[in-house]
Amino acid sequence: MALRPKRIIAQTIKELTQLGRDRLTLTLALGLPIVLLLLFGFAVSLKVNQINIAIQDLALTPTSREYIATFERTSKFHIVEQGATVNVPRLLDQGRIAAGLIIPPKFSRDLRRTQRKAQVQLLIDGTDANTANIVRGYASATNTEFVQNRQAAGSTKRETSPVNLQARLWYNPGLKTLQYIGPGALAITVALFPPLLAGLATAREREQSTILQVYASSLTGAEYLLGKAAAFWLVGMAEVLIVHVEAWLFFGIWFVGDPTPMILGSILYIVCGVLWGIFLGSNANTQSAVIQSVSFTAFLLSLQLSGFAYPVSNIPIGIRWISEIIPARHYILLTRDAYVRGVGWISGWSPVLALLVLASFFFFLAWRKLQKMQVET
Amino acid sequence: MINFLDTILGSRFWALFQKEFAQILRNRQLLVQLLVPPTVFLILFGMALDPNIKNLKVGITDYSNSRISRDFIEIFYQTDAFVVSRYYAKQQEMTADLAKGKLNVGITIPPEFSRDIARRRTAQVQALFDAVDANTATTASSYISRLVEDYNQRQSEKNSFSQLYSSSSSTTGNFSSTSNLSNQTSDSTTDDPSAQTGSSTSNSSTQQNNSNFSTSGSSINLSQLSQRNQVELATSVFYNPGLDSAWFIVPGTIGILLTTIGSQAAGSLLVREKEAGTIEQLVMTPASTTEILLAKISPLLILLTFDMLVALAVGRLVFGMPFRGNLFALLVIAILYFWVGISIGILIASYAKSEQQSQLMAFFVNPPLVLLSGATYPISSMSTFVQWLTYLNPLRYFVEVCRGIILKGVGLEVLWSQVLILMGFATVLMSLSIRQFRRQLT
Repeated sequence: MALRPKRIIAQTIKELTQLGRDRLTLTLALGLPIVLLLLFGFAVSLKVNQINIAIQDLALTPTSREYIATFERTSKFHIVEQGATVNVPRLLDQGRIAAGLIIPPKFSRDLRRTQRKAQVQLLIDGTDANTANIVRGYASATNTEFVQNRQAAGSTKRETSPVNLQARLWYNPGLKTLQYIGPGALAITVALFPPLLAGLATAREREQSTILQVYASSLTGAEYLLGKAAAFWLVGMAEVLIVHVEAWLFFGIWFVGDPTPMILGSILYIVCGVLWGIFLGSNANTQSAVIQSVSFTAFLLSLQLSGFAYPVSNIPIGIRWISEIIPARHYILLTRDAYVRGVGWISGWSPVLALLVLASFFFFLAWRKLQKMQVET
Repeated sequence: MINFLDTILGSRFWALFQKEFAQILRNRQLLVQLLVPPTVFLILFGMALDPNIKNLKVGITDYSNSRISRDFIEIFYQTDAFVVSRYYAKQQEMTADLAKGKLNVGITIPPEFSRDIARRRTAQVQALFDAVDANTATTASSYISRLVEDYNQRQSEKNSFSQLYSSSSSTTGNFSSTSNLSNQTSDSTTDDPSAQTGSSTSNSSTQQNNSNFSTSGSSINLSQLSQRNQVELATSVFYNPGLDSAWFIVPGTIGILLTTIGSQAAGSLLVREKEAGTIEQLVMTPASTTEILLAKISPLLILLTFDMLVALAVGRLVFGMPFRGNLFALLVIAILYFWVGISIGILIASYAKSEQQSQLMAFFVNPPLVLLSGATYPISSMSTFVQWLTYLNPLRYFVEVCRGIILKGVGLEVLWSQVLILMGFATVLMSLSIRQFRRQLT
C-alpha cells in the first residue's frame, strides 16, 4: 500500500474549503477555546481564600476577646458575626459561614487552671470536604498560635520542640493556583474541537452518502484518513497557538524551561484527538450522535479524569486505568512541565512516548474501521 | 374532579402531549441520552473527583540512619495519605525523582538528627514539596506538620516524663537506673496520672490520622497537662461528618445534568421538528404556540424528574449519601428549575437552523453555566470578579437548594430567597423563549 501525497493534500484542501464555508462552526471552533480558557483559568480553583466564620463568645472576657483577636489577625478568616447571641448552627444552615467557633462561659477560668484544658468548639460545614479540611487546618494552627503566645508570655523558660520541619515548596513557591490550573486548562480547551470537527466531517459524508463517491474513487482508506486528519490537525494547531498566546496575555505564564517536549506533545496530542474523532465519526450514523459521543469521551473525560483539577492519584485504582488512555492526562504533564516545572526532557520523554502510542493506537482503530466500511458498502 | 379530568383529557393539550410522549418513546437515541449518562457520570465523577489527598509518594533520604530517625519516619506509615515509595542514599537522587514527578514529597533527615534528639536540641528536618499542584501541596504540608507536631508531642511527653521521673527518684531515691527514653509506656501506668492521660490523648490523635481526617475532633495540647493555658479545639463537622467528597459532587452533578440534558434535549426536539418541516403542520392546528410548547416540554419534565430520582438513588446506593430534607420540596423546586433549563434549550432552538447547530450552541452556553455554579468547584475559591458573575447563573441557586435540602436537611424557611430567584429566572427565560420562538415561526 503506497501513500500518494498528492491525493492526501487534495483531500486536505477539500476539507478546509468545506469548513471555511460553515461560518458558524468555524467561529465556534476558534472562539470557544478562547472563552473556555478564561473560564477554566479564573473559575476553577480549590484554593481557600477567605473563610467566613462566626464566633459565639459566651465567656465575654478579655482572654476570650484575645482568642478572637488571634483569629482576626490571620488574613485567612473573616469574622461575619461575633457576640454572645450568635446562632452558629443557623448560620451554617444558611450557608453564610464555613465554620463557627463557640467559646464556653468558663473559658478563661479553665485557661488559668493547671489541670484543665479550656474547650473551644469548632463547627465546620463539611459539605465541601476539601474546604472543610483546609479550614480545620487553619483553625488548629491559629489555636496553636494562641496557646504558644500565652505560654511564651506566661513562662520565661522556652520549650524547645524536638523536631523542626523546614518546608520548601518547589516550582511554585507562592502556591499560585493559576500556575497549576492554567497549563492544565490549555490542554482541556483544545481537547474538544479537533475531534468534534473531524468526527462531524466523517459522519457528514456518511449522512449525505458522499462517502460512496470516495469508495468509487481510487483513494485508499489510509489516504482518506490521513487527508482528513491533516485538515483538522491544522485547525487544531491553530487553536493551540491561539490559546497559548492567550494564556501568556491573560495568565502571564511563559515557558520556564525547554519547551520542545511540549511542542512535540502538542503535535501528537492534536493527532490523537483528530484520529479519535474520525474513529467516532465513522462509527456514528448521525452528526448529532457524534456530538454526543465526542462531548462525553473527548471533553468530559478529559476534564474530569486527566488530573486537571484533582490529582490522578486520588482516583480509585479500579478506574484509574481509564485516565491512562486519555491523551489529556499525558499532555497536561507536558504543559505543566513547560510552564511551571521546567525540567524538560528528563521527565518529558515518557508522556511524549505515551502520546505516540495512543496516536498510533487511534490511527489503527480508525484505519481498520474505514477499511471495513469500504468492504461493507 | 371528573369534570376537571375530562377537560384535561379532552383538551388539545392532552392530544398533543400523547403525540409528543409517543414520539419521545420511539426516539431511542434521546431516551438513551436521557438515562444512561446520568448514571455513568454520577458514579464516575463521584468516585474520581476526590480532593482528599491519598497515596502521596514520599521519598526519604535518611543520613542519620539510626533507630531514632527510623522511629521518626514511622509517622509516614501511620496514615494512608502518604506512601513511602523509596529510600535514597543521596539527596540529589531524591530531588531528581522529585523533578521527574515520581515523588510528591521529599524528606531529608540530617546526619546529626539522632544526636540532636538525644541532646534535646531541635533537630532540623527538611521537607521538599512538589508544589505544581498548589492545593495538594498546601494540604500535604499542613498534614505533615501535624504529624511532626504529633511526634514532638510524644517526644516532649517522654522528656517531661523523664524529668518527673528523675525528680521523683531524687526525692525518694528508690528508682535509680532506668533509661528514660524507651521504656516509658510500661511504667507510665503506675506513675504520674497526668503523664498517663497525656499519652492516651496522643494515641487517640494518631488514630485520627490513621483514618485520614475522617474522625472529628482534634486535640491540640502542646505539651504536658501540668502546664497552664491549654486550649482544646473540639471540632465537629456538620452535614458531612466523614468528609466524603462524593457528597459534595453528587448534588452538584444533579444540577449539571438537569441543565445540560434539559437544554440539549429541548433544543434538539424542537429543531428536529423544524428540520423535518413538521413544525408548520403543528402551527396549522388550532393549538396555540404556548400549547405546542407545553406539550413538547411536559414529557421531558417527566423524564427529567425520573432522571433526578435515578441520581438520588445512585447517590444513596453507591456513595451512601443521606437524604435529610423533604423529597417533595426538592421535586417541586427541581421542576421549577427544569423550566429554566428547557427555556435555555428553546432559546437556542429558535436561533439554530439544524440539530447540529443547536448542539454546538449548547456547547457555548453550558460550560459557563456549569463552571460558574459551584457544582464541582467551590464558589468561595473563585476570584471576586468571577464570584459576582455567579450571581447571574440560575444553576448556582439550584445547586444551593440541592445541597441545602439533601445534605443540610433545611427547607423553604432557609432557602426561600433562592427559590424566589429561580422563579424570576424561570418566568423571564420562559416568556423570552416563547416570544422568540413564536416570532421566528411567523
